[in-house]
Amino acid sequence: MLREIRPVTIGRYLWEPGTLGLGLLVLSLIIWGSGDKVIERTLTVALINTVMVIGLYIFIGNSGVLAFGHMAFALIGAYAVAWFTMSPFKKSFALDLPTFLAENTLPLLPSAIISSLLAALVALVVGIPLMRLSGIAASIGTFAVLMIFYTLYSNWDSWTFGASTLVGIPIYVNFWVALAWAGVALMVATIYQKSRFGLALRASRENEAAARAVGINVPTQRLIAFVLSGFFMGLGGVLQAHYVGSIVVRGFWLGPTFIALAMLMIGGQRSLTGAVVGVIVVSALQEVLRQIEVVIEQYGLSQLIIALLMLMILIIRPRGIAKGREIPWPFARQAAAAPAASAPAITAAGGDMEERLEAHDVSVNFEGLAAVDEVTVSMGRHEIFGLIGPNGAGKTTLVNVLTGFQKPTHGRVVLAGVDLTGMPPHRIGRRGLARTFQAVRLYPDMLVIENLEAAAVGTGLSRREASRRARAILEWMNFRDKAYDHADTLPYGDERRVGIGRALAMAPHFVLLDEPAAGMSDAECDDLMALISRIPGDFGCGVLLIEHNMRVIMGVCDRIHVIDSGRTIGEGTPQEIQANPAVIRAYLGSRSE
Amino acid sequence: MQAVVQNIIDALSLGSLFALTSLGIGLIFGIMRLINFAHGDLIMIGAYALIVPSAAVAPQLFIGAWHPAAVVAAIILIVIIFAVACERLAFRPLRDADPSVLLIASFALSFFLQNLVLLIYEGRPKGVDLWPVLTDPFLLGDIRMPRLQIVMIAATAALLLLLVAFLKRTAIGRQMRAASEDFMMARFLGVRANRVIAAAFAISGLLAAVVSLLFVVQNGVLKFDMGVPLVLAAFVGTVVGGMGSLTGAVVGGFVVGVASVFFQIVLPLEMRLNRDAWVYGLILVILLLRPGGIVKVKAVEERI
Repeated sequence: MLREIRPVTIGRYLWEPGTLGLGLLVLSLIIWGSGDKVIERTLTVALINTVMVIGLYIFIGNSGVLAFGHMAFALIGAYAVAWFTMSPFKKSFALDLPTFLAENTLPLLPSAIISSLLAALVALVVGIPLMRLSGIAASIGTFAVLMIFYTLYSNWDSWTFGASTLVGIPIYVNFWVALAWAGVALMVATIYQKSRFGLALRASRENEAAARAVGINVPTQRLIAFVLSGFFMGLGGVLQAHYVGSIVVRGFWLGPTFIALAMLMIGGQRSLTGAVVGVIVVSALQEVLRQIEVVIEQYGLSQLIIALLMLMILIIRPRGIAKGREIPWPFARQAAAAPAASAPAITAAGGDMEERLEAHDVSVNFEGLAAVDEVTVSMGRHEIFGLIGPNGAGKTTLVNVLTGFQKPTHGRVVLAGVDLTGMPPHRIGRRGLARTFQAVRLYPDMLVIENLEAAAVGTGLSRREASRRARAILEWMNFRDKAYDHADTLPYGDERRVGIGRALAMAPHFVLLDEPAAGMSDAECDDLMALISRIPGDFGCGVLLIEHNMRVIMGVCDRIHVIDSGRTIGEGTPQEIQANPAVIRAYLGSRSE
Repeated sequence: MQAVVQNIIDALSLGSLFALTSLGIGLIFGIMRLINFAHGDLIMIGAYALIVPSAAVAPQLFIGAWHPAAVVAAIILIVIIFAVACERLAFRPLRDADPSVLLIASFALSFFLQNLVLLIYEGRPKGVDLWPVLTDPFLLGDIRMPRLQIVMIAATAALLLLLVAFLKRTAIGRQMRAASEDFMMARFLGVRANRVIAAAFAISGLLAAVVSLLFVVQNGVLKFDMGVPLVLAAFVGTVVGGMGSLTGAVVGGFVVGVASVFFQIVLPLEMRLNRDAWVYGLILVILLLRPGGIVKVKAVEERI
């Protein structure tokens, strides 16, 4: 069975780099065949830019964090390779390097790789603190890095020849070399993007809170991409140095930063296809305009028009030419084709079935207002435990405390005897505590199956294991036909069910469902009740259920805990709760007394 | 004493320029999540509007030769027209786009405006002598006071007060504040998006025009990319101050300005060329300690 689908699997895996690489190769052959030296030059530059823009894409595309500072890594790579590969004679003119570097010349390929690794190393060092930042703060942080290196290199006379142009770097890059490296970049970007690391990072791009909830350590995942993208930016700098033969610090400043980012945005920042298409389109436009400029002898006009065209492309296609999609796979999806019997069975989570999830005297104060006031709950893995209360009672706040999204003012959260209080959400997720969100928070621009896979990967599974578990759960939920739908195309009720599936993909010991039935029709509620009541038995996973729909609560819960204005007002079986006067008062008001 | 006063005035006046520029950027970011990189080019356009269009290195003053009050009025008007036109033609069609796309669009717009000026005026820097009387220092006791820098600080203070009054007292000002708290909600409550955004661009144009006049008098040089260092510093200031807060933008602008002057003074001579590396190193430290900026805004935080 496995052997039969293997060639298809490999073909599917290599589809994007294969098609894009082939496209670049055909383009190269046509231009090489034409023998036009000017266009050949443009193509070489475009291929070097492809390496850089793929580098940018690895970080920006997968993380969703806009970084401005990547030219710093190209700068570092380019100067490092000059130190390694210039002849001692040429170095002696401009530079005052330490003896070892001054007197030796290293071979070209190792120099290229070491220089790019150096850029990656710098990315690692600056990335460790910077990747804890999000959004615009991260963008500015990376820009500050560029500013710092730009300033230092401009004034570091003995190593960089200051702001002057450093000449005499050996020239060996032609468009075949650039094409080969562009192919390498395509391949590595693909491997990364399809790996568990790429999957986890894209989940964090789509919804950071939901990524942390499934066990993904967002700063670490960003750092991995940042280092990889630093490597390819460094490599881009190296190739440029070996193509032009001279470098200048100014050449790694705002202009190239803008062009590289614009290429990525115009192609579409969220797909590898977009990155490559963006480079080709912008390069081609530039070349055509330059040719026209020569003919009409109106110099400077091409820059003006290229800026205008870029603006127009962004206005017409704000998500880029590729719209964030890859080149579509032309054949049927394997999962749809494979018989149902091949779907793996779900397995219950391991560990001690007797362990308990407990909150002891948890209180949360928001600026003096007690949202949760000394609430104690305790539940086991066999049961479905309801948590109810009027709007604003503090139910979601309690779930946030349990899952690490909210620090309690005092009190403790204990899972299987281990104190979880103060742990970040991703570590709590990895310890077997899963949750859904009131606002669902799926990863909208990912497939349904990827939503589940990201959660499985977040708890530490390999890519292959994650895929098995995701398919098993979709099968269990009777959702297999929608596995390859984009999550943002699902109807509302299905979104909520995928949210539950995603939480279960973590193989949790406890799952916290925050209003799963909200907005569902009666028929959908019946399906949901059937689904929830199967969770403890099939997964060995306790369910904490917040819900306003009393039919659902009374229908599936073993025990129910009621809070009002942050305080516990009752706990017991559904029958006991329905007869509890305090609960009736809270829900129906004092008139019913 | 002379040196101390001079240093303080230097820090405050540079901070003023950055703060006015930061405010122009912060105002628009608060409402439409656009970081307008082209703001620097509005400053540049205000400066070039002073001269007769030509490629000459020592150009004839045109608007710049008018009565000072007329110069101020004309430059403000011209920059406001450009600012509002940029919004109408480039940013309005992109209103629902991702912030990173908006930013790249503003990059492209900036690139366009710079190349437009290059095409008309050519690339060489131009010397301009606007209001030379302002650059004469005057004596306060025995201390020489730089007149222009005092004017800069005073003009900034006056503009900030005016802006506060505008935002608090006028209907459109209140709508702008509501829009920067929660644009969607403000629209539900009847705030007209196009009007508020156009007003924000007009005010950012006014701020840019004032900066361009002060900057030209101080430096006496026009260059097609003269707005870039200003906008970079201001952009960083906006973020460090606290993205989405107008107070934060002003504070952040001053932080960057004061830090620049501070490092210029304390660094030993041989390290002074690397001043910007120190300034941006400090910025990184502030960002890491306070990722939300110095003045934190509640609305930016996400509820789970």
